[in-house]
Amino acid sequence: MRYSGDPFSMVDFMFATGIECSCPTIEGGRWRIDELEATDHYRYWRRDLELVRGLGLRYLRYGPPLHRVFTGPGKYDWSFMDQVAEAMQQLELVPITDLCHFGVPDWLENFQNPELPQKLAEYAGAFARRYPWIRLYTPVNEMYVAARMSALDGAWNEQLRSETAFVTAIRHLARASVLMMTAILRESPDARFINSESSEFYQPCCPDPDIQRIADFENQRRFIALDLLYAVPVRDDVHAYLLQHGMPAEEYEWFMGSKVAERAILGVDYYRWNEKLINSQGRVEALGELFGWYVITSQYYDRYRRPVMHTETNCLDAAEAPGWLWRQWHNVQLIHRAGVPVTGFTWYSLQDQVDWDIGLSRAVGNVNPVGLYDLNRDPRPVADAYRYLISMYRNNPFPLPVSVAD
Amino acid sequence: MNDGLMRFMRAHGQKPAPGQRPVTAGALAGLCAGVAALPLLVWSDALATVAAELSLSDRVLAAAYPAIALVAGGFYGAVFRRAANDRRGGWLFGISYGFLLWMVGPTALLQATLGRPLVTGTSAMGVLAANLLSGLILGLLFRPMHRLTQLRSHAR
Repeated sequence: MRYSGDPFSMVDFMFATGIECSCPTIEGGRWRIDELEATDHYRYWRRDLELVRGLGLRYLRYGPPLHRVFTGPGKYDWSFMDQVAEAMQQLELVPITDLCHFGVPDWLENFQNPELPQKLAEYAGAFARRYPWIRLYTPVNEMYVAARMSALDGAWNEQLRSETAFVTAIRHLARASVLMMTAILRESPDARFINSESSEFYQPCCPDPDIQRIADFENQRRFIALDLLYAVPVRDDVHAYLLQHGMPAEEYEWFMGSKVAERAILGVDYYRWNEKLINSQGRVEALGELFGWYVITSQYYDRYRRPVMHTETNCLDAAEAPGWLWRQWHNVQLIHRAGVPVTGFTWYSLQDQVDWDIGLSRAVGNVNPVGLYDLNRDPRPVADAYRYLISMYRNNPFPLPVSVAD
Repeated sequence: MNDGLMRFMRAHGQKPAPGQRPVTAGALAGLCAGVAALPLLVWSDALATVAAELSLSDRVLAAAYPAIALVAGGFYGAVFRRAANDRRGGWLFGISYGFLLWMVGPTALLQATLGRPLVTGTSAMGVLAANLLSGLILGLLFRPMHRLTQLRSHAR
């Protein structure tokens, strides 16, 4: 599809998948969860790329292993990525390059490090310089989740549990995104950005004012990273919260003056557990789908008014996965009918994942059968369903016209 | 594939076929494994000894052994399914399965039925070696056989 008059128009609708590449550290930094390693991608990377092509896909969310490539200040080991990039070009794959996916190299410590934004910007610039043919980037994947899991829930990286640590992490990640986008545009002026964020929603269970207050705040907190990135003013109480927990007023103004993200697509990730209930004890509980991708993405679109892409979804039950795929796709079609520009759809990921059922909090080795292929690279039923869906909609993803009046 | 999944795919006009054919792959791999292990039974004189114990001719037992291996391979595929297809662990699954069959068959059931050991000496070692070898070959061949069945499915 084409968005005429928009300099940022997409030529193709992007049917995509991704290689799961999360790499946070756990247990005080003693262990790194490297999903590329756990899923054998380092071993079977060429086969993985061929499988993507075999599904009829061109777009691939791909995260080079930051902790292996960015080995020190100004030091890079491109040996693995050079091979992958060459194969991608041969197979005519279009990578959506995911530069930071929940982890940083040991020498950069964690998201509390004030030097992080500048260092990641150096990396992004070096990457864009080395691979000038790459145009699509996700500078930092799911900033909200990265900050929450690392600095508020104490699971990854710095493993802190404080509001100040959370604000620090989210400031650094948002700032890193802005600086990375700037650095990439310096090297590759026609680069495009897809800022993938986890779509979240908190539903209060009951009329209790305290429960309502918690849900209301969490529903604001989910927006903070994107608000800073897209220069959308936060609500007054959230502004006060940010300043109270260490954000300098001038830094907030710096974010609000940033224009770099004007050419970005909002990537909206959605899983069954993204909608949460604040229960009668005031605690967060994931009880499954309440409203669905359409409703939650509409909230994000209403706030940011930019093209959206469904950038991640999957289903933990392999037998239910084809049904989940079709439901997500029909959500995408419905939101397009409502007038929201949608640029792509992603089943994440290509291969099964490991230990995501426990949020990568421990290295247990649980295989989660969420992939289009299992870890032996044999297809799951959802691979056939996705191949079929793509063949049906490749040339015309939205046969029905936009109908805002519906 | 479960019924709910099939219904969802059919509703969108897709005619789903099995993506995995572990029983077929196991049966084919088992047949090959049985044929490959047969010379070991003959060489160790186990075939003749077992045939005599069971009051069968050598030829009948020689024909039955690959058939039994075929059934055992199909059962192996049905039980282990996707796990039997493991790139790195397949051989270990297979050899373990061969050992299990040896424990259950010649060592337990047949001994209990006959009231004495089925075979002894070199022949006994031959039976064990044949079971381990056929299990190993079953495990190693399962993946390529599975790939073959998938290719035939896709070609259709």
